[in-house]
Amino acid sequence: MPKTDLLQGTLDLLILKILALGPNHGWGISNRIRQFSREGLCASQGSLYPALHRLEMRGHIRSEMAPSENNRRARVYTLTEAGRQQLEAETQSWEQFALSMRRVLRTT
Amino acid sequence: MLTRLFAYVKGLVRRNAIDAEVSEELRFHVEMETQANVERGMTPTEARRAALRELGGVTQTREAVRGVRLVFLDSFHQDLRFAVRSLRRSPAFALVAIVTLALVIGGSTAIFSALYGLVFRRLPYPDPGRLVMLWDYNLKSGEEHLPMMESAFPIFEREARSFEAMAPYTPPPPPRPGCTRSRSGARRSASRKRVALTNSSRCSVSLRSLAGRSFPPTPFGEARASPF
Repeated sequence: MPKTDLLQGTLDLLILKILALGPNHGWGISNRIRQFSREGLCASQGSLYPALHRLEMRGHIRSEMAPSENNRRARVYTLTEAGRQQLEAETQSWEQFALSMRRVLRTT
Repeated sequence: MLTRLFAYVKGLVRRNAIDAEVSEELRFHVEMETQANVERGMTPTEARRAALRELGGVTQTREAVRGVRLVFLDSFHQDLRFAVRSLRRSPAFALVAIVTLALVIGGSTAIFSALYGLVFRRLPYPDPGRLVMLWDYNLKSGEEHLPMMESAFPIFEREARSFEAMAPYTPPPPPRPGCTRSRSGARRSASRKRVALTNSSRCSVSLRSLAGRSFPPTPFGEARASPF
């Protein structure tokens, strides 16, 4: 696996957060990330789908093929209970991380 | 751990199906993105090209997804193989582990079977919580749980007001010591038939005999219940 721990970590967290709001398909998730971050974050599609499948293999999300808005089948992802716990843990550690970074950077 | 096992089995069984589904998933993404781009004011060709560019190549992404799945399958596979290898390297430990598991599983199964019969299974009577057993006790010696005198039963039956119905029974005689197994088994089943239970008219409403036949109510002292 390529060593991009930080980026993967944040993308996983973003995906879990979006799915906590309700089941969604890949395109919907990337759209939401863009929307909620006010265009500040853009999940590269090349890493979004591998991340989704990685989360599914870990059991944090599950997926099924379901009919979508334009009469095509889309793979719809849903957060699992394990994923919900993971989201809580990762949110906490991310906030701790961001706080520590800010403290260091604001030192004069 | 369990979720990983399920994902592993699912990934193994549906490997080809998942490949096809990933292609469909990515096609769906490109279509949605194209549509969104058109709504943003691009021409259809432009919109499609932009969508494909953003995805970074459908084939590449599909390979990346397959890579992710393979890495997971492989790591699980390696874990399994490592476990088997370790057990084979120390057969004594493996044996102890297996025997421990067998004993524990067997033991808990036995305990559960016993508990099931004694505690969980309901007695085959309506409202079994209201069934009680009456015993005698000796005031002088303080002995408890003595069998009642046969002659006392009619008095109890006449005077007691707390019970809906009463019935006496005579326990089977204990099997003779020294019997062989098969003979004592036969004996026990024979003696079980001889549990004598006089009937009381009200008992017959709520109790039914599990085996053998029931008999009409008879006053206890007058005619001994014949063995059935």
